[in-house]
Amino acid sequence: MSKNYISSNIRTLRFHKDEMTQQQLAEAVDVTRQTIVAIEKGKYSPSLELAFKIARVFDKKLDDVFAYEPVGDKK
Amino acid sequence: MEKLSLAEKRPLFSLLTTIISFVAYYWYVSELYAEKILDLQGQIEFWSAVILLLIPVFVVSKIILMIILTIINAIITGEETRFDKLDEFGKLIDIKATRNFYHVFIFGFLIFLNSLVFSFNVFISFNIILFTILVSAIIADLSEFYYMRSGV
Repeated sequence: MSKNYISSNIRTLRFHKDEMTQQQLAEAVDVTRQTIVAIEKGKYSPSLELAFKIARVFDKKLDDVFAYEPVGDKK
Repeated sequence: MEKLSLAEKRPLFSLLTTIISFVAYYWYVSELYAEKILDLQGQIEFWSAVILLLIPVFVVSKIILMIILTIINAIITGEETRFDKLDEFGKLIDIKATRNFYHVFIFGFLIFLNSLVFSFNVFISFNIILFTILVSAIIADLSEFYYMRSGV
């Protein structure tokens, strides 16, 4: 399995948005529920377009929804 | 092991239909071959036709079997049957599974060519290609299931 450094708090945001289901979010951003499941579990990094669409659903900025956390990254 | 979603079951259904379709087709072809007495040219033509016909037979039988399995799954589990179009995640999985298919197929094709170079029996050579197609298809289905579960 490839290492995925993108994490998200989509699950929490869904809960606070009237307990939105994964299926509802998937329909709102035009993907399958399986894609939302994979993103929430950190098993898939969404494209930039999809990431922006998801952020827009929650009226949040991209940084408020997704985080980039590489392990051992040196500046 | 958590319960499989319909999207995760589909590659397993596809795997089952691949095996059933191939076994049924190969059994039918073997019966035909056993009835014939063919010279070298005849054998080449026969097995070439078998491989060419495998493609449409596979496509049609897999479609029919997939529909049947999906309906059976819906009846047994009560899950809503959805035929979602491929999104970016699905397309990436499809690309990677197809890539794995081609890697295995190329390897099998090279074995096939080697068998011709070393004058193997025509029956054996063409069966190498036939079973390469089967193994490649199985690898593709298993890859799809793996990527669906583990991510890409």
